[in-house]
Amino acid sequence: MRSRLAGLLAAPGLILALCLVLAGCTEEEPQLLRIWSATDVGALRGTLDAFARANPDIHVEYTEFNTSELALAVRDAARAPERAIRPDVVISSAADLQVDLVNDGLARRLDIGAAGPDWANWRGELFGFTAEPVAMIYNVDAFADRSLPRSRSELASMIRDAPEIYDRRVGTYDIERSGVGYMFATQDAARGYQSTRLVETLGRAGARTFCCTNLMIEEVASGRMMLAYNVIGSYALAAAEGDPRFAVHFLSDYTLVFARSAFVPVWAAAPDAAERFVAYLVSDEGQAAIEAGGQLLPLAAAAGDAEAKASRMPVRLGPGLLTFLDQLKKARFLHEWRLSFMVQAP
Amino acid sequence: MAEPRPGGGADGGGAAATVTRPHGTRSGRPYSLKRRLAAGASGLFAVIVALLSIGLWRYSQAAADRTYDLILTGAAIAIQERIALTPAGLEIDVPVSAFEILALAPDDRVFYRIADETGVTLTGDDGLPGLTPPPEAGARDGIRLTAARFGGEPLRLAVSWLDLPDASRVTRIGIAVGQTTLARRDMRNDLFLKGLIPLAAVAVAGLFAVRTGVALAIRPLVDIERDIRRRAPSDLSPLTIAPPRESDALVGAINDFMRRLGASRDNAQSFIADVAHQLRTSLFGVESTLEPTAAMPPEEQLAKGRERVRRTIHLTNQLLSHAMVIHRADNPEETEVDLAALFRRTLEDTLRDGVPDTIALGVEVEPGADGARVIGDPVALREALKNLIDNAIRHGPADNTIELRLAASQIGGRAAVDLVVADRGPGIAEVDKAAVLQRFVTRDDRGGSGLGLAIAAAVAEGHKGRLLLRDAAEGGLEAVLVLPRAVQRGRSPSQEQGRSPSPERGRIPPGAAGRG
Repeated sequence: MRSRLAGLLAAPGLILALCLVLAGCTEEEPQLLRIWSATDVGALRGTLDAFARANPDIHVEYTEFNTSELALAVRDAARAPERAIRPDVVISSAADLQVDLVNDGLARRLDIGAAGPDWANWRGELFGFTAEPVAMIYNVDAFADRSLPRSRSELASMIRDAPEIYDRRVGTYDIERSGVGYMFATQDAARGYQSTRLVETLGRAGARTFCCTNLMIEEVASGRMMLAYNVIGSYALAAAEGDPRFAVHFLSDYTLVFARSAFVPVWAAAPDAAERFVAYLVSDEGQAAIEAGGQLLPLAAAAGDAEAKASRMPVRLGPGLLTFLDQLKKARFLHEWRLSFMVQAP
Repeated sequence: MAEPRPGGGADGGGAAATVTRPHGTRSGRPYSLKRRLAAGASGLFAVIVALLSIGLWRYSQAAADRTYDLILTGAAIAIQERIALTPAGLEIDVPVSAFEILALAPDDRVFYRIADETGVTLTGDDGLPGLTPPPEAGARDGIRLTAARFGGEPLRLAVSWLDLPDASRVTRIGIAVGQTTLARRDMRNDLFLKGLIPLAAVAVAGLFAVRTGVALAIRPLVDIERDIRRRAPSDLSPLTIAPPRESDALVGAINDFMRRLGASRDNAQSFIADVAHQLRTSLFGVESTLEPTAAMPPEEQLAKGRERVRRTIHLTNQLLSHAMVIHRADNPEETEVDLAALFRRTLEDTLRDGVPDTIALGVEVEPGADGARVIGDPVALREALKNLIDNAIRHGPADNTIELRLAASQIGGRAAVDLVVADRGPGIAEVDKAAVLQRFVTRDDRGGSGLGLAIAAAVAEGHKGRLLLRDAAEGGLEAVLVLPRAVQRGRSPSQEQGRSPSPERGRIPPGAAGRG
């Protein structure tokens, strides 16, 4: 198995290839289900185990990517010959990239009764199975005698007004490297005029950029950073539970909520097993397993207080997400973002 | 209300099914009106529903297309608005709104392509059709909507070209926006099915109405049938059911027919009774005359007997003549009859039978009646005329003058002709005039059968005319057959059998008759 994965291991951005050879495989030849996912395997391990227990005839092979690389790898797989190693299920938190892949006709229609909210499904091909808020995290000690910002406007003013405190001590996603980070930034841009100002302020403050939420959590928890903006709330909430050094905060002007989504590519070698897996993810048992895993929030999750809940703005899976994937638009957006972040570069 | 029908099936009532129908046994079962109408109506409804369905389908398709074409057009316009030439070059900023508009068809895939006039894709999905070849410069035709295929799915495509003028030249940018057709198919199917439901309901209601309507429509027929079937053979009383207006005529005709049948039967019965009585009486008379008696010499008795036999023969002839006239009236054989010729032939017949020398016979055609014709039965008419002449001879004086006259007249406002037989006899008392027209009624005992005037009256009636008895100006009786005239069909009197147009006054002097 490892030799077959060697090619994939060599691929750029492949963080972790994991083969879960699950107990319970008896005399029957188990069906191989390849999952390519932009999700920490730790966040899904419990769910995968539960699925494996319920389906002893399916042998899951889980490969982890980051979101941008996953989208590229899937496109490569679409062009690859039939005998190449190709995924049976694609899971990503970057809703826009997922929609783009499905829009290009790479997904198979699944016969799964609509589960979850309307915004988290598209075409019966793309199925959201989590509802995860986008949050900011802050170092608890650093904010001991400061009030937290309530909105992006306040956040921008706060950083701008105290450059000596925040300089190089704020962080956010590197939207050039992280697909989900790009999605957060573009969704901000699509939703409010404040986003430009916030981006400029962050750039002026010499904000550091990261590939992943976990690294930002580490930096904030350690106190090397005051706060990080636009982190994946579910990871942060899970991490904050065992770590009193930092806390999760939801801005009340709006809170983006995105769905981690899964689809089965048209070329799936094990389409039945793949469909069963996706159906399991959105089923009551699957949702319970996701919640029990502690890292992800199920579709019905209620994160944050009432105010945060009222300001939730789900990122609808659908063609609206394609706007910022336009080549010219993306180039311009990244260009402007880069300009903003290079202002204070040392 | 008719009584409930047992098992009123599609074939017209269970009551009739138990009765053998001669029609049915001869050529299989008779056709069912109800079934035929139901089948016809079903076929018609099927055709109508099919035609309306086609129309509905097209309408649904058009409505769905129109709706989602607007969305597509809106998105194209939104994209157009964000394409501009700036000093820095061409700026294309695909707006969020364009995709949000397209997302109104939430499950449809979306494609777009923006290309320059050489066909090089500037952004979007390379390979999306519609932008090659670009139209000739200046041929701006707004946003063109076409059908295409892309990415394995049928697509609706909005293609437009944008002219961006610059100081030196015009830059042409092509914009193609495509969307899969899931939403419009859903909308079309939805519209179609929702339209079909009332259509089907109307069709079902229509079929039900036809079935009910047929049952209602033939109910009077069923009622008439049952009424007639229930009757005793001799019962010819009118139908008592209250028919709807539409079958009123049928019931009227049946009732009329029954009345005539009844009248005819009554006539026949009384006629047979009369005939039997008359013949029996007459034969008894013959028998009693010939009974050996001492009161009369045998020669005289024989002469009397012969006279009796002669009368009986006359009576029998008259009876047969009457029967013939009635029969011919029932089965009319109508031709155009020239009355002057009829007069002449009748007179010849009369003379051939023998007329006493003392009786003068004359024929006169008055002006206006020359060439008069009637539509009728020449045999019956001659019989009537002969009887009238016979009567005049029989009841008139020995030196009678009998005149046959043809005169123009009117009956019921229509042109008619009078066939007058005038004599110089005693005439008939006013009170008797009605009675003598009846059968076996005679004024005196001159050997008349009492049938002559009845025959003439029957013939007059058979020709839609009348028999009048009136007193002549010079004394005596005028028996007048008033018959409606045949409509002249462009014939001038001079062409008729070479007859002279002047009134003909032929006179046969007394004594000359009977010798010819």
